[in-house]
Amino acid sequence: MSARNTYMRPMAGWYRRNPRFMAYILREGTSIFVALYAVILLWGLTALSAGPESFERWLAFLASPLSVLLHLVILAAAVYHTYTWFQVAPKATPPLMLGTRSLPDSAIIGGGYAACVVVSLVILVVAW
Amino acid sequence: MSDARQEIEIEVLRYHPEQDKNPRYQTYRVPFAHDTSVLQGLQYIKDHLDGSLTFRWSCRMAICGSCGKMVNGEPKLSCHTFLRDYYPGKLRVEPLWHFPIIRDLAVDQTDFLEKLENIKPYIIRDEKKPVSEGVYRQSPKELARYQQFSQCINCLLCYAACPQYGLDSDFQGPGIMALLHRYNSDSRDQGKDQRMPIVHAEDGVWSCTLVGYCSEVCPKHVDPAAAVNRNKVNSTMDYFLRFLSPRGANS
Repeated sequence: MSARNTYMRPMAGWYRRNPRFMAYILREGTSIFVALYAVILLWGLTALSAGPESFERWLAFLASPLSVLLHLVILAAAVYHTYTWFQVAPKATPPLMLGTRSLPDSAIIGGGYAACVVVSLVILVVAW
Repeated sequence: MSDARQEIEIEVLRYHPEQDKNPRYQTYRVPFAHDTSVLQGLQYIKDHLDGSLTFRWSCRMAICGSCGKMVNGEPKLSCHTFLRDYYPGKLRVEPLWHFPIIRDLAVDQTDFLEKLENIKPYIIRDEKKPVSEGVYRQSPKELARYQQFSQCINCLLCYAACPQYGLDSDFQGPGIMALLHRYNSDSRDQGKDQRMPIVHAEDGVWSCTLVGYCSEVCPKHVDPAAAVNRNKVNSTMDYFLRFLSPRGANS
């Protein structure tokens, strides 16, 4: 760097400077809820291996109002997480060339959503 | 500006290192017409109101990449942004975020320029063929693989849009990765092995958390976020493929 007497602006509170940064923090924040859901599922799995009594306790927790509320929050976070995940998918996808044009981002995003809906429906039908 | 009818308030960040310990803001009233750009507004200030205002510009037509500023907190080419879009509100013009301020709106680009040199932003050949043998040929399809990345004008708006670069300037950053990808994706180039260590490094693609704002602010519609994240895929492939191939991967 040069020997100039420059001024470096501090980064404190950077995420509040632009709505785009807040959206990023929100997107990353939703992963906490996704992780929380994974912990609840793991708890269920350990309860299952521990025996019927402990599994019943887990089921009772799931049926409690607090758990229903928590699951609604987790569902909302997971839906937003999924939405943003497909939105950024084209950035990590190697360019799929159709002649001299690459497949448009909207096709990758749309394809992702379509696959997500189909898979979710199949799981719902199988699990019901 | 002869047909100027309205006036707009422009608040400009000022910093003169000889006198100022910290930057300050100064407000000017600038007349404008329908086609007056933010850059022309700044030029009006310099020519008529305050000759001490310092800022960079050159071409006035969104091709040289010199006049990038923060306009109301968004990185913009000031020649490509118009005062009419902010009226009747006022606008605040600041130097590009995440760079040291030299004076008023001029930032120190040294860090970027050194990084640019390191990625060898030119076509590398194992053996150069003499001019008498003609040009290196390329098909339209091969051109299409890198063309958008070759539109970069080094304006640094993507760096001002990247909080990861602001938090740690060791990160190569979006523009550098877009240019590196431009040469690595060029069918005429053979220098990929020389550039990939920069991609693999902690300060290479792995410092990116895909905020994605860099691609939104690019005035030339380059997609630096795609360049960085496609190279995360390349870097990961390279990591795992080395177990299969003794010479490392053809990432």
